[in-house]
Amino acid sequence: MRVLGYLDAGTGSIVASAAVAGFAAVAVFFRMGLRRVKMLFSSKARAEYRAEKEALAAAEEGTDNLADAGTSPTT
Amino acid sequence: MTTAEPASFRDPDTAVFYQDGRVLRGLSEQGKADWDRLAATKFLGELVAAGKVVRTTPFEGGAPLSPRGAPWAAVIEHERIPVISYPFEWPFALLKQAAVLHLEVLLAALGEGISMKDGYAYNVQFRGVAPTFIDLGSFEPAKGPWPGYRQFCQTLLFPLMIQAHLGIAYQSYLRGSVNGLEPGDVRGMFGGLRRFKKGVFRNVYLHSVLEKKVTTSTEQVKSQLKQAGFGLELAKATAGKLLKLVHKLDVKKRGSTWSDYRETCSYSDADASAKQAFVDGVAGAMAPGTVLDLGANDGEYSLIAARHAQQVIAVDADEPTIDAFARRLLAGGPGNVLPLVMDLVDPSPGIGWRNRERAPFPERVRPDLVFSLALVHHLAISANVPLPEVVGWLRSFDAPAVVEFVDRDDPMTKRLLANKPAGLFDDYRLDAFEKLLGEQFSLDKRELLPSGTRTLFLATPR
Repeated sequence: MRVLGYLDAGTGSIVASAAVAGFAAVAVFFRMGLRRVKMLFSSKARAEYRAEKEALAAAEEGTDNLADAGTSPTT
Repeated sequence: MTTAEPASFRDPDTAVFYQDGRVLRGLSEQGKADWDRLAATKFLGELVAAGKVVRTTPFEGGAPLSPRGAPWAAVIEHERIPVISYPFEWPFALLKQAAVLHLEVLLAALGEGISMKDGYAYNVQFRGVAPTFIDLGSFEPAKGPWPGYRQFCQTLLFPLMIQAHLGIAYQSYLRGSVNGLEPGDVRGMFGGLRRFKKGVFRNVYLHSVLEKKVTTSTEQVKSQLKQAGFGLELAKATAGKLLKLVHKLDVKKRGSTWSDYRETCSYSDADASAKQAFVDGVAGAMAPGTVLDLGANDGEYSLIAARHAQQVIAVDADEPTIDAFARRLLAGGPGNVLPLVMDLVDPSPGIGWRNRERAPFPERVRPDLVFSLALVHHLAISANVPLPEVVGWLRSFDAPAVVEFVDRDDPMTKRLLANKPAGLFDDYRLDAFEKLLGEQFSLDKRELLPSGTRTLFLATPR
């Protein structure tokens, strides 16, 4: 899926669907933005982010491309 | 004899297959659990009774292994939809019907704690102009945001939006990709102030921005949303807002070459009534299952056929005309006519996985009677298809055909010939056509219309 590679293209769509709902769910997205700011100043935030990223990479290893290509089940 | 449905392979918990003409769906343990939960709901029975969800019953009998080689935990049977059509063949009014139905079914399900795995236009089929939801494997316990939102945008909402807001026909985009239109590509169509048209900012602009910006995994975002307290209500609000938006989308009044054909064509009243009587006589005597009306225009002859046939498929390349016909039918026409948009010189191909996921048009529509009225001159002269090719194509439907030949002295044919170099169509003559037709069909009826320039045949395959 384009530049997203192994990431499910549906991720942004889920946040977008929350925005459509008119919910403040976009706050979750902004919380993620806020963390980026925190990471500039706090080494603890940076370490947390790295740990999460590694865990994610480990989880995705062995998952093949197709399973994550955003193809939803259909009929 | 068992055959797998080529489009039903993505979901490991369910797959559709055909056995002796019956439509069956295998369910894994998980799929069975989801089905049992679904079968116990109130909304399912109500939607089935209203014709909005395909009738489904338990199947007792032998079934093959799943595509992954395991036995199914259960098998259910779906009522058969007579003719399968695809979103890129639906005019605007029908695609909108499909979008509304999908959201209505989702909202009804969410009301009882059930959501859908996807939001695919192909989950809907038509009986006449009435949409029916067919993907019973799509239902699962609701867990948070609707996972089908993206697919709904790509195959239903975006196509409707580009037609309604920009006047861009969506058919070729949907035909070009089984996944529909990507948010990023649609964003490119809504430049400048267009991004503020109804529904565009959130569903297209924000959607495409978030798609690039959000790099967290799907499961992480889902759990973050859950932690933030967004559960079932979020999916309900999304579906509700989408439904409101879809209801508001419509096309502006359109004219096309064909939309006023009836008023501007050179038909004499005598010709028209003779033709109606001929068509009515043939269809009445035959009482066919499926009539395929090729080049149906405003559907005048489809409506005559509808009185005698189980169903009529009316095909024409001109979307505004077919859309107008669909709206007439929705407003109160017979329930057995399905109008479809398709260029007969460039018919729907096989698309998707191995070119088999979605079948070519001739594999889906097996007519018992074919109409080719005021069509041959367009194929032969406008599209340069040689007459033997035209006859061979008519023969390929393997069904009796009502064929009209408009001779070269007819004012409409003269207009077409005027656009072409002289001498190019010297073989376009009634006697030549009749000889070709007679080689492959027996000509059971022949009638020269009062104008003297149009001839009708009832041709039965030899």
